[in-house]
Amino acid sequence: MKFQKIALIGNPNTGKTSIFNRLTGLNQHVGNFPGVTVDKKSGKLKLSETTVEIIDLPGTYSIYPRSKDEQVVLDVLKNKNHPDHPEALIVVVDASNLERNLLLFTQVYDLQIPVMLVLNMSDIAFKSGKQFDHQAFHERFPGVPVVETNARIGTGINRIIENIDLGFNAYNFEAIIADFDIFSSPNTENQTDETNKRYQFIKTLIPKIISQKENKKQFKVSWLDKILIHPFFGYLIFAGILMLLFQLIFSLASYPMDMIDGVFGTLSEYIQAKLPAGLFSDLLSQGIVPGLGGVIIFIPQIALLFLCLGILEETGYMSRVVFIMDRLMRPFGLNGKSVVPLLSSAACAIPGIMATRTISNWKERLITIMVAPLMSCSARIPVYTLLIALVIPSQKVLGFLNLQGLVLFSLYALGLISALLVSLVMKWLIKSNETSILMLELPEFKSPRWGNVFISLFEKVKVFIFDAGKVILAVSIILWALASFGPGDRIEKAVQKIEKPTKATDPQMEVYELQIKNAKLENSYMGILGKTIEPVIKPIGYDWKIGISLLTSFAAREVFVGSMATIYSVQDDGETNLGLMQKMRAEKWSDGKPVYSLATGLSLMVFYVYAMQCMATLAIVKRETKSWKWPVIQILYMGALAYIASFIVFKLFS
Amino acid sequence: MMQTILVIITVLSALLYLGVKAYKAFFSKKNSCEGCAFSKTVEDLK
Repeated sequence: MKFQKIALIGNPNTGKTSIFNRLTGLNQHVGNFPGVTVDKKSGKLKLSETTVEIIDLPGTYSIYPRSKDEQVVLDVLKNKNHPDHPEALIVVVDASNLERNLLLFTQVYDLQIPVMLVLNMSDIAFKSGKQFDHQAFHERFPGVPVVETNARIGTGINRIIENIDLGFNAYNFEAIIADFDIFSSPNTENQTDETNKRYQFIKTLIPKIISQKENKKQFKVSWLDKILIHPFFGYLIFAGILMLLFQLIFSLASYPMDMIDGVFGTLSEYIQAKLPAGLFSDLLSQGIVPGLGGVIIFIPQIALLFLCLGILEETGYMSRVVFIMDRLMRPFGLNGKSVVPLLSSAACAIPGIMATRTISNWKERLITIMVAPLMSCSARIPVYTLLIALVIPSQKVLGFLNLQGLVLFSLYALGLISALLVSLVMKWLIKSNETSILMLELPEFKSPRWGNVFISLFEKVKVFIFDAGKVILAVSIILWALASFGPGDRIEKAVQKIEKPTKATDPQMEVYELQIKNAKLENSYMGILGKTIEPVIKPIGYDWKIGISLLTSFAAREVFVGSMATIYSVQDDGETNLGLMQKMRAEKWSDGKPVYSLATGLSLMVFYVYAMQCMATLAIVKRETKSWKWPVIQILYMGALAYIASFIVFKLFS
Repeated sequence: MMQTILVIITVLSALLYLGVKAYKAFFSKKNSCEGCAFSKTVEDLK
């Protein structure tokens, strides 16, 4: 029996996605299941004669759904007309924890869909003294291929492919639960009854198919867990790891960033010098190239952050983090399940908010959605790092900590603490009596699967370049146009008013040229807009150029950096290849004081911790809450927090 | 002249791109959200 469409199914943390990555390589596509908001990963597996579509179904403990992700599994399996209904299933189980994992297998087996059992992490099972008896398994489940794998290093993957190529189907079928029918949608009581029956069956099956030898290695793992999830040391270690991460971001990423900055500065200067003078050449050298540079320069930092987070995830440490954070979240009215969306929001609020669908309690879900954008997302990194490098000196604290890294850590901590405090307020404002629990599995510690880490890293950097990058580029082009043109002959009149020194060698010539540049910018459409909003932002320490970047970065936070690059490049006429930071450092108020003082820099950082500067997140909140009310409340409360906090910080440090 | 035309085309394209993106994010009933990296929302499960 040959198949064209096969789905991978399994409990969370069984290495299902690793198997999927091994089978499909980079030949995969992320879309979504029709009609729902759950990510669907599919890919192609090339066989000797045909190509098979492999679908990675969301991780689930049973085919009875408890969340929208799990509902997808049920929908796909029960509806034969579903476009993703598979012809066969590969059930991936954790070989070291068959007792729990086999529940899903028995349900799938009873559906009479051709099924293959993959015993992943068989190396860990073997080390813990477990041995699988294939003969005994085949006596009970004839025709069901069983493959032992270690997806981290790729062991057993070829055997899966061979079995897919040959085709498989169970024979002499003997149901575990007779007349099992998921079409009838049994009620919870029936489901519990059925699940108990299955566990009784598994209890009798396990001694027949697994032989257990004594082993002493378990001790090590439980010893490590005792420290990592300890009520005091657990938090201390997590804080230490985060601190180290931010130190790394600053110390390692600075070299490639300086290089990229230099390349784009030189490119801008080269275009200015070599292309024929004209508007389009100006657009290229002052708008497009600096705008692109503003995106690409932050790739090293983003890649480094996701590389470190990927490694932590792969080793199994992040599950421990969820566990200890759950304890911290509960007093603030957040469900334990809020931890995953909030941690996801540290990468990007959009998947974080989408991940709240696993929270069944509406109040807790709503609170999580409302506070998720307060977690510092990766789009804030370019803004933070630019401002930190600008106003915080690179010096050591306590002899070994970099002050810049410490400030970055504090901004992340501020986001988290604020999210918890806002949750507490919302807990009082929104009333509900529903309760919910966190069900979490602490996976075994493993060495990272580098393939998974790098595939995920590649995807995230690609998303940053092609999604955020396109917006930044488009905004840079529009900003350039707004900064280069003004209403009527306003720019010309302003330039004419400035008195020109009589001799070209006059030392006042430099001042004159600077006055011309400023007059052009201030009388452009952008200058007029910026000057209009300046009275509102001056109390928090910002000039009109920062104001313009605040407005444009409503599209996405990282647009701030691209906007600043474009504004200063237009002002500079693309003449120098000075980096953005040097240009910003040289910026002065009319009284000669630097615009980017410590007070302004810190105020701006705090503004970005709180302000809801992300159009895409608002759109997702609107869709998830099915109302304009919540995104409007969100933008208002976050905006008010941003303004008040920035004002306080500016006054304190002025 | 040529440079001016190129600038007009580029600026209009940028405006159009952002406009379409904003529309899709907030109002489109299509099964994708080009603007957001991860979102592919249409409607929730009943």
